Amino acid sequence: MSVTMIEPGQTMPAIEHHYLNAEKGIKSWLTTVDHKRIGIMYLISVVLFFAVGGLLAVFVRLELLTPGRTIMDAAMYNRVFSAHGIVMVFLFIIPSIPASLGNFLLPIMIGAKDVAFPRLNLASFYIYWAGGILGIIGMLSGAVDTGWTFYAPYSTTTTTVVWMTLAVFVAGFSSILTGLNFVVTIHKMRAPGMTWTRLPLFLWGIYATAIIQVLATPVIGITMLLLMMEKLIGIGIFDPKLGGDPVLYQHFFWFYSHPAVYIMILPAMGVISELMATFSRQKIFGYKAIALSSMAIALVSFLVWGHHMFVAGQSEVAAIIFSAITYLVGVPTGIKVISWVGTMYKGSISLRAPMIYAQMFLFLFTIGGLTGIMLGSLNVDVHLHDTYYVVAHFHYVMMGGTVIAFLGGLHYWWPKMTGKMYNESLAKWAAGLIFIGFNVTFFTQFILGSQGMPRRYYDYVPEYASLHAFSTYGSWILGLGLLVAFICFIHSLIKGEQVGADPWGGTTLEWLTTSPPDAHNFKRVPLVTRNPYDYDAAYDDLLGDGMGDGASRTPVVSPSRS
Amino acid sequence: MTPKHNNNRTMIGVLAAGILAIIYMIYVMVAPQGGHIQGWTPRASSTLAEGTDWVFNFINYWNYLFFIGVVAAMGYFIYKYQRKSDSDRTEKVKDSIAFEMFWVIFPTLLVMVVFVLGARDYMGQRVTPKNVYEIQATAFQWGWTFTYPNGGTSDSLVVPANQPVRMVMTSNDVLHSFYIPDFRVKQDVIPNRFTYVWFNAPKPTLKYNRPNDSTLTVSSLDRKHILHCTEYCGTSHSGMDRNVQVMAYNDFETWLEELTKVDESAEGGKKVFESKCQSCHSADGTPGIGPTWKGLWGSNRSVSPGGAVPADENYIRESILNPGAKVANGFPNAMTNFTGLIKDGEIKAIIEYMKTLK
Repeated sequence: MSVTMIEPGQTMPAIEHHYLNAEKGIKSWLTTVDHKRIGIMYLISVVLFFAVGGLLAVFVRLELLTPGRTIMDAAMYNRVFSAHGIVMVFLFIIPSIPASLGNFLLPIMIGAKDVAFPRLNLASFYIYWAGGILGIIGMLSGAVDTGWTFYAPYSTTTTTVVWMTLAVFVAGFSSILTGLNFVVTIHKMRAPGMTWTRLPLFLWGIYATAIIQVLATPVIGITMLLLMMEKLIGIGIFDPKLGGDPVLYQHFFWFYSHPAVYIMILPAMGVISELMATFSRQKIFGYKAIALSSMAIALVSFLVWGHHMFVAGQSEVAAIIFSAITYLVGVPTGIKVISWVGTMYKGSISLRAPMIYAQMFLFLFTIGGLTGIMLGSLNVDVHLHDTYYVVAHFHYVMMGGTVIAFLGGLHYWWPKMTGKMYNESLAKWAAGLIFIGFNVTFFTQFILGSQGMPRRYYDYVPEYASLHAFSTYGSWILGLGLLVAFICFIHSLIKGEQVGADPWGGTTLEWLTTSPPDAHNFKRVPLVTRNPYDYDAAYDDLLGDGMGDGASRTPVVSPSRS
Repeated sequence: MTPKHNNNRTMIGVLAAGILAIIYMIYVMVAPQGGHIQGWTPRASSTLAEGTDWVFNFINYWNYLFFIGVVAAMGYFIYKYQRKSDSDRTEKVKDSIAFEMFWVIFPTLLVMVVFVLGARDYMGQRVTPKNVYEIQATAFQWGWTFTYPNGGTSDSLVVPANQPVRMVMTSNDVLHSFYIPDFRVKQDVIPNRFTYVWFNAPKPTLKYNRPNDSTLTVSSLDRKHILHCTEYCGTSHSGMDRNVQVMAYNDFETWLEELTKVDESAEGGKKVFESKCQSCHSADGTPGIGPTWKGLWGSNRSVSPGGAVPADENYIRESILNPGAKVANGFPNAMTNFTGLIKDGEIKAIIEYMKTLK
């Protein structure tokens, strides 16, 4: 059987009916229950909050350009870095990949028409925005200068945190409902033949994430509620003056916020698995290892929160136990990295922009992971805790990991979402600038941190000045790179070439349907007869035009066995 | 449009450039500056630093090895298996159980070794040796008070050399954290609870006044150490940096005797102001978190409750020891209660100093 090739210069015919033109008008978007449209609305929202958080980050770095006052006073600086953290964590990174790419792709990848509860899905979106608006009110009304962690008793005695904590409380419900929706969808809505071991690894990542979202998010809700009650009616849970215990707050907070770290990174790991397979044209090395390690990470992540508190005043026994379990989380993460690198072995590696982001992810995430090994060590963490080493570490994981994977995934699935290809060289320029800018900004901070520079400092001793300045220069390159990436996507919307169903030669189900997909994803329910990355079988068994039965295949730029 | 696949070399170039950049930064960091090698960690000035640095370096060397291994494999595969044409087919790779088991067992063993090394050294940090010299520390927004066994207090830390010192710490308001990078010690300071750290600094420091003294270079090994607050505590969090001076035993004894004498002159008041008050108050009229002291003495103060009161000795004293009693209008009731943190003689000295600020 052969596959029709598109000759150079020949343009792809545009798809006539798809989810974007199924209905028209702003109202059809705001009231839609189509998971794809909700995914797109999430995408626009998280990009908006990323821009806000990013702008705040630029101000933070600008202030740190020189010791003492550069552009703002200490009180303003504290508000800016707090807002940066809160926006990035709660309004950008937690919903980023699961709510945008996850929403769009999850039903398509399992061959379903939609998520299990489409109306709940739309409700999640509006709850998320309710949280976002409360957060914006909190920022504009002034005084949240607690950092994103809201540590008591500073947060309960000295500043007005009610709006912000309410924002986190409300946004949490969006996260819980999305998680619930995804768990049920994956359990109940898989197409015939889509067994658990045939789930694409992106969905394993989303599934593990959704479980954490459902189980852990209520804890932050309760914690924020207690914090508000402490602030408003003085119930005395956390404030020692009222008989409370501030260390208890930290236990509550990290019991959510450590698993939340995996809410942020597991979907990113899923994206990377997809990219490595498609652009290496090779089945994932150790599929089961990656799938099971996601679940292992999700479970063990609930038992390591105390490693944020080695010097907080918890007992030595607790510290030692938390350190030991922390290292156990490191192992499955290491296995994933080895599996991704192993996937390239005997592959056919194409370095399109998504793959470049995947390689960047491996580079940066490996640094992030290895420095996590450093921070897990008890005596070393005593020195490094709350220094820039920690700041650099979690930026390597959260930005070098999640944001880079998000960008890679966005390039990868962009043609599917919009039907348009992006400009390859513009995308590569953006990736290069981001890579250089990121390392200049954040690698410097490893050095600052191991030298002893504490985090959340408005002012610093002159010894650190040159490193701080260097880091600030990096942030400009990084910002420019992100701007170019944004322009690249806008450019694609306006000038992008129409693509076929499967521009990359991908083998998961989303590449069987048209680009952009039909409003109902597939015209018939697909029948799955193979594993997700069986490149040798894919061209024989599961070819099709979105019918899922291999009857015919739309012309795509794709390999042929001839 | 046929995509081109000849850009793999560019990618390898970018990867190599990334590694070279990081190697260069590490080189700059460890290159000798003025005879002193500026390593990852700052100078090791306590007996605990050696253990911390050993584990730090142990992990770092393994990290270099793993990182270079991963990136080298990436580079090699990208080079070796680059796509020649769109119709490339790949052969199926057989899973190797032996290889996978190796990649589970080997890192597990290695991280367990790292865990044991770190935990063993940590226990050493937590168990205070005998014959320890105790100093009480009280943290507040935004400063420290150190109380020595003879009752003397100071705002920056002075410790005897070559002697285990135990800090018994508590906070007057919110969370703070006691961190001396050169000693590798850190411990959060919590209200309503005592926490402690101990350290032993073998070498006395030079008697310079400030760590940013122009006569100092980064490489000067015997400059004073810095104490940071590392738990975010509000507006002047970064203003809680203080000097840590290590003195030979005889010098320390002399210093301690001097400490109990309070200089009640305006000159002494200026010192108290600089150590305890100037993070919120100014002496030159610039507005701060609290009212400026310039022109304050003898003026009529608009306060609540109470309306107008003259700024006399009793008003000043009350404002320091019970700041909530009469809050100057236009300012928040935010001042720390200094009862127990300030001596009577120091209050007298502050009053003398205020008289000079016309």
